[in-house]
Amino acid sequence: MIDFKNVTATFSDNAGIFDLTFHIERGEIAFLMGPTGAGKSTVLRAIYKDIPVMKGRIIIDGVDTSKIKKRKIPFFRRSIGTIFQDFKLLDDRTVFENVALPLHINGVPGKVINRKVHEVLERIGLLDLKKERPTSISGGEQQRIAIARALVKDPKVILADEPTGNLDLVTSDEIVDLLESATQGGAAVLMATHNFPLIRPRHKRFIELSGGRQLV
Amino acid sequence: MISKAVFLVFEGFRALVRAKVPAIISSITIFITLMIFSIAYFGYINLKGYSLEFRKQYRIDVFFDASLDRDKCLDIFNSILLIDGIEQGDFIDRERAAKIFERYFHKDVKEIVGTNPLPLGGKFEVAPEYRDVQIMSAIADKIRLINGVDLTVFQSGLIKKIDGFLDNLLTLAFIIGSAILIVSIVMVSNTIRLTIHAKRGDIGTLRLLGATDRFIKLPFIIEGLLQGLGGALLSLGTLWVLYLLMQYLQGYLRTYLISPELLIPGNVIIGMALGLIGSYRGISKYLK
Repeated sequence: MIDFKNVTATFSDNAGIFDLTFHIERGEIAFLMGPTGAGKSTVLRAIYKDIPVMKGRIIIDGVDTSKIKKRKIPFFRRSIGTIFQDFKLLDDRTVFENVALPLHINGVPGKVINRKVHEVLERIGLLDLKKERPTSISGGEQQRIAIARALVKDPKVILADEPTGNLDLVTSDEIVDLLESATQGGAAVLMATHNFPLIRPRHKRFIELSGGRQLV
Repeated sequence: MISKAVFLVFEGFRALVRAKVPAIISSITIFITLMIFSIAYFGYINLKGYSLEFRKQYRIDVFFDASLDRDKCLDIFNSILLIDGIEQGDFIDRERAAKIFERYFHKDVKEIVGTNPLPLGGKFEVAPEYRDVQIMSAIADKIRLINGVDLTVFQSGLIKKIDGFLDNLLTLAFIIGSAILIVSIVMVSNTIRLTIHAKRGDIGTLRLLGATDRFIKLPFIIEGLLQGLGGALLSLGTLWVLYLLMQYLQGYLRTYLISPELLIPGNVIIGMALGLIGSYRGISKYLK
């Protein structure tokens, strides 16, 4: 589902990722591990084409991302559920509206949006907060809303960039549970984290990075 | 598709409500522009109206050869009436000429000279479309060539001055109008850019979620259109008050009023066009 073949993506200061090769299956969750600056976010950004790939190929669900034209990038991004470390929720919208946003972007009819958003909010246990603004809920709740926003469009690929960043251990565990549950629907999940104690007990696959390179 | 369109229109309204202060500033800018345009247009139609009224007095005075008798002069008078551009004429015999002399100089010409030496002549009014100094010169030349015509006179100097004044005024109005239009567009687009700048984080998020530029742009453009409509309604309200005032003063001042059938759609269209161009310019600069 997510296929990296000798991928190199660098920034102007020569930082980045170098010669990465890995594969994540449909319905699999993998953790990108490494300290700050190891290149975890760069891997995710390279997938959703926020930075260019210099060498190698990234294939997502059979699509070679290097062949996607610039004007088609938005449509490609719609097939990916992305969860950001800083949540990136829109503060002037309610929880419901935030979760509904990707569906509006995809042009989903209003009735379907209503049903899907209610379903996903119920699934993550935050239906009661649907009328709240992100600024009036806790960090953990905000992160779960961000996950709901990624899950609501039933993506084939979910990318999570440090989704447990500043959260306590219990909340972090719940977040990883949520992401793991998304694999049951067949999604491939790639989660970047530096919180090794959080993911170690789960016995899942790790892709360990250091200085932009993959550690064997 | 319809659901997305409804969502984007709704977003445009929402954006307007969210960014009240910039929206009010944009609407006021458009309002001021429309007020200036409307008042300038009011000035223009009045100037044009007065100018047309004044031009009604444009005429060519013709004096016939003093040796010709009345019948011969009448023949020439009638032949002049057949010339293109001559609308109507007034034949002036010696008696009328003496009365005109008396009206201007308050003296009887017979008392001064002992006889009436004034020549026969005619006053010729020119059709409205011929009331131009060059065309009138050509008509006067044509009349001058008629056998028995001694002299043709028309106020070419004054007409030239009035025509020149009107042309200069219209050029000046065009320059000022264009400058106001540009300033208004720049102000609206800068206001929209401020709003966009404040929302650059949200725009980035929308992009990462797969929103196309068109999806991001459309609410801003709708917001611009609504700001334009707001400015137009504001100007129409103010102009309505001025219209009532002018109608009241119509007894004292003779003015030409702009018809509401022209004023209402004109203001709404120009206002919304200003909002549209301003917002499109603002968002396009930001989302290159």
